[in-house]
Amino acid sequence: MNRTEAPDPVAAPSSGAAAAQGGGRTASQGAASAMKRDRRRTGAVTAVVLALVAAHVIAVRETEFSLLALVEGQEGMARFLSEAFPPDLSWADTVRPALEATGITLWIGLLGTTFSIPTSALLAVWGSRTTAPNALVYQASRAIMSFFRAVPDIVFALIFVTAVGLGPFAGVLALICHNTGVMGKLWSEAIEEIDPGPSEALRTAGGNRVQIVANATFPQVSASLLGLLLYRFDVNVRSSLVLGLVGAGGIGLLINQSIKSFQFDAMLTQIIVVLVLVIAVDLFSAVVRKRLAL
Amino acid sequence: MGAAPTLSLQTATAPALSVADLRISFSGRTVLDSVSFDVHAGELVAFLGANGSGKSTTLRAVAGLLGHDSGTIEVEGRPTGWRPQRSRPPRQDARTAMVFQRFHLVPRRSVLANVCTGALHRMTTWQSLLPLTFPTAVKEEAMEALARVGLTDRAHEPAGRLSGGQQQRVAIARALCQGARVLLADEPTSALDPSAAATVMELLRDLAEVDGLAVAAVLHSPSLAREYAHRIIGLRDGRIVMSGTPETVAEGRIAGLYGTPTPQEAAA
Repeated sequence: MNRTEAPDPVAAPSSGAAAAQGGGRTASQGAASAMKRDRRRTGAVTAVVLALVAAHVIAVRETEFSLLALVEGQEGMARFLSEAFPPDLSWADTVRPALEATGITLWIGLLGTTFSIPTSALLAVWGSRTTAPNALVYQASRAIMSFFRAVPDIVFALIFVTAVGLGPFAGVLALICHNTGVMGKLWSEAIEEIDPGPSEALRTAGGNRVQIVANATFPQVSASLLGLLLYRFDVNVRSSLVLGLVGAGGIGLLINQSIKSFQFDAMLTQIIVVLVLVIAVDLFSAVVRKRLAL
Repeated sequence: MGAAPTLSLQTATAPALSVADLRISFSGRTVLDSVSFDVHAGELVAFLGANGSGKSTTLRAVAGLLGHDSGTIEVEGRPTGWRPQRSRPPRQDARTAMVFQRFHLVPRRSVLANVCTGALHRMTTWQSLLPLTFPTAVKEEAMEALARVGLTDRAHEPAGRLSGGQQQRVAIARALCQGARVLLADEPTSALDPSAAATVMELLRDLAEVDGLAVAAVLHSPSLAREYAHRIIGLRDGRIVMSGTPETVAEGRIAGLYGTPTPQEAAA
């Protein structure tokens, strides 16, 4: 009784002597309000479920989603596959160009990742609550990162293809822009998660802001930053494939050409080469990240 | 062990740390009120009190981690600390060092690199960017500090691999490398097992008696305070309510700090 009234000091003096009699009444009132709350919650859940179902019905209609069309299309699929097999393995015509273009795709992904390190690092430090110099810089950095994250890399690629022309350079620029937004955000989250204790200790030791970031923040996050960097490298190599489709160079460009000229057997070879690259990059980043975690 | 002679010496010299009329409030609520005390070089003073009594707040204000509303904090006669309404937090005063309950070391870095960071205030920003670029002189001082806490042989291991008691000694070595005259310790032993706690308390007392530091430690256990401190200061609701040597402070008054008024206290 006493304990339940403790958090409500305003009500306590006015009830005074009546508190003993009022005890039962407040309990039944509490039960009633709890039931009302339950009913309101059930209503809200029903409304959300209905809204979700309606959204999916509309989505199925609007996207012309149809299993029937998929079944009817199996003939075309079979023709496509029969033309794709066996893959075109001629060295000079297909395999060599595919390997070269895959190399370019890999280099686009690599440069797109490493060249975005300085910008990501700066925005991550400014955009973390724990390391930002002031609120204005913090908000501005967050806004910049949101913008670069919101614009897809393929849109950046289309912009840069117009600016610097068709080719891998446009792809690198596109990846730098988009990756700055994503990696900056991931890094700033990693920075915000660390134990603030060591930074506080170095503050009492008389360290300045740069010294504290270098000696308390950075050594605590370096492993996770590197892990996230490798993860982004992995994603960026795969993104640069898609960038090739819009003319930003690499194997994506070749796949696009093969499809347009109905050379499905060459396309299959190119896809196999890409698959090998993606698996290799994936394994590499997984192995290194595992090492880092130890 | 030698507490009595040091005490008589202290009264003759000026205090290393002198706090007068310290007042701190958080959003209108007063958490420290007219707190005054001195800590002399060579002395280990223990602060006792319940949660929220203001003992950690006092240390944090002395360390400059918190601003204070009024009053003065002086280290060896020169003012330290800061007033939030007058200025932004200044660069910290290197004459006071602090060790924490959770050590606050960087676990991945070597013990030596952690100790060196105590000397950040003596390094240029460029020198301090990487452990590789730390000046040799600082590394030598860090090794001396490690020797003082008995951990020379662990210097090159990652700090996170040491036991809790050893990590706290590394944190103390970092404070020594800082060259501070006043060592503040915020519950330095409450995360440690009893034997590690005893080692750390002995070290703190030794740093006061042998190295002549002024040590102010918030302790969670009255028995540790009785065993190791030269003087005990008790806080309750942001005020100093008790002060004296372990011999002169009655058991009942210490118990009274933790919320249960005792017959003796009621009589007094």
